[in-house]
Amino acid sequence: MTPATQAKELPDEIPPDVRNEIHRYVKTLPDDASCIVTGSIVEGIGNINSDIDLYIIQQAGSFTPKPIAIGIRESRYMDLEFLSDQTVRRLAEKFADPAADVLQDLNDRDFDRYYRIAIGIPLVAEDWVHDILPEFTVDRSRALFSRKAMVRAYHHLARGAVAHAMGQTRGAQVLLREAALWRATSVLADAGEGYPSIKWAEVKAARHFGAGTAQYTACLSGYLDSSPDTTTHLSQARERIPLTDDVRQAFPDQPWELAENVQVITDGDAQYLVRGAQSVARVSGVVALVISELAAGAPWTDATANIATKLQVSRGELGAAASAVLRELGRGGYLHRSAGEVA
Amino acid sequence: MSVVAKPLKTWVKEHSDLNYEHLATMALRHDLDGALDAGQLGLAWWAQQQMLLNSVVLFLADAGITVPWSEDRLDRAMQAMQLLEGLNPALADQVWQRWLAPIPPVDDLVHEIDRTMELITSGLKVPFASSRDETVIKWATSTKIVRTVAQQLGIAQRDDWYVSDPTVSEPELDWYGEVLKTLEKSQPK
Repeated sequence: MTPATQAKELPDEIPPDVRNEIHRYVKTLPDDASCIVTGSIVEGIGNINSDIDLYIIQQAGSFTPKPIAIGIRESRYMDLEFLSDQTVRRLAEKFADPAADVLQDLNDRDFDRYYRIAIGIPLVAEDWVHDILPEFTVDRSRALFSRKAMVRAYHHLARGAVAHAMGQTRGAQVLLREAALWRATSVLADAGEGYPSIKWAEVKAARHFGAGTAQYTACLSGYLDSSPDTTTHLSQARERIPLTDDVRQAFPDQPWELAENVQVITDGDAQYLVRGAQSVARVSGVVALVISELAAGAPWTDATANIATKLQVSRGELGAAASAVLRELGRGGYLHRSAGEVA
Repeated sequence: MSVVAKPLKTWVKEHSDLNYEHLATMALRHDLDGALDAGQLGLAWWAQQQMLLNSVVLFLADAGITVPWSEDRLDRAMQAMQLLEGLNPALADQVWQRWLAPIPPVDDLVHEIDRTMELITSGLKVPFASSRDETVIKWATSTKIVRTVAQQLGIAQRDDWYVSDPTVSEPELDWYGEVLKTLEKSQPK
C-alpha cells in the first residue's frame, strides 16, 4: 500500500484555530488514511461556529467501519465522516453516468458527499485518492444539482397546491415557501453557487448577487416575500417553477390500480385498504380521494382527472403530490401498475 | 407521581432517537450563533426555525408521543405539528405563528429570534436550547446515558467515536469529562 503523502497546505483563508485542529488531528491518523478537509469553511461561507468537516478515506477492509466521529472544541465541533475507497469510487461512477435518468439514482447524501469531495482539500492523501479526485468536479455537481433542486421545488409546489385545495392553509404556506427555497437553490447552482444545501440559500444569494439587489430579491422570491394570501402565493409559485422534463421523469404519469385482493373501507375522510387477511393500510388526504375513485371503478386517468378538476390543480401536481404514498402502497402490495394507456 | 417502566431495548431505541434530536439541536445552535455573529441573515432564520421544529419533537417525546421518522425533514415537522395540534392546540397555534413568520428585516432579526427562543424554552419547555454550551451539555449527557444503558444490553460500544482534544485531554478524563473541561475553558475569564 502506498503511504499517505502530504498533498496540500491549508490556505490562509481557513481560520488559524481550524488549521491547528486539523493538523493536530491528522497526526493521529493511520498511515493508510487520507484526509480531505471540506465543508462550509472551505466553501468560504462558514462562520466562527461552523463545524470542522473532514472526510477520512481508507481502503475497505483495512478499518472497522464507523460512520462518524465528533469532537467538541471551544467554539466549534469537529465532524468526521469515514468513507471507504469503494464508497468514493462508486460515487464517482454514479455522477459520471451520462444517462438521462441518473438524477433518480442520486440522493441528497450523494450530492452532499460528491460536492464536498469536489471542493475538498486533500491534506493527506494516498496516490489513488489523488488519481480519483479529478473525477469529482464542481461543474458536474452544479449541473445535476440545479436540475434535482428544481424537481424538489416542483414537488413542494405540487404538495402546496393540493394542501391549499384541501383547506390546509398553514401547511400549504410552509410547502410553498420550501418550494421557493428549492427554486432559489436551483437558480443559484446555475449561477455558480453549488453548495448543495437549502439552508445556505440566502447566504449564497447574498454572496453572489449582493444582499438586497434586484437579482438577490428575484432569486429568493417566494421565500423573502411570500404572500400571506395563499392563493396569490400559489399562483406566483406556479409562474416561477416550471414543469421540466426532469419533473415528468421523476413523477411519471403511470397508472395505478387496486390489487385484486384489496378491499377499501371508508371512515370519514380516511380510507382503510385491507389486503386479504394480511395487512391494513390507512390513507388520508388526497390519496384517500384517489383510492376512493379507483375503488368506485374509475380507471386511473379518469380518477385523477376528476380529482384534479375538483381540487383545481393540474393532473401533474396531483400525481407529484400523491406519488410518494402511492409508491409506498405499491411496495406494500395494495396497488399495482396497470397496463392501461394514459390519455 | 408514577413510575413508567419500559423494556430496555425499547428505551434504548427511543433515547437513541432523542439523542439524535439533541445532536441536531446542538448543531443548529452553532449555526444560529455563528450566523448572528457573521450577519448571515438567512442561515440564522433557517436555524431558529429548525430549532423550533426540533423542540416540538422533544416536547412531544416528553409527553410520551413519538413522531414517526421520515427522511423528509419537512414531512416530519408537519407530522409533529399535527400531533401537537391534537395534544395542545393553543401551543400549536403559537408554533405555527412563529414557523410562518416571514424572514424579518435585518434590524429586527435578533428581536424576532428572541421571540422564537422564548417559545422554545418556556412554551415547549426546551430550556437547554437557550445557549450553545447548554446544547452541548445536553447532547453529551444524553449520549453518555444511552451508551451506559446500551452497555447493559451488551450492545458493542466503540470508544473512538469521540475526537479527543490533546490540549484538554488528561489520562483520568473520559470523553464526557473532556467535553465539560472544553466548555469550562471556553467560558470568559
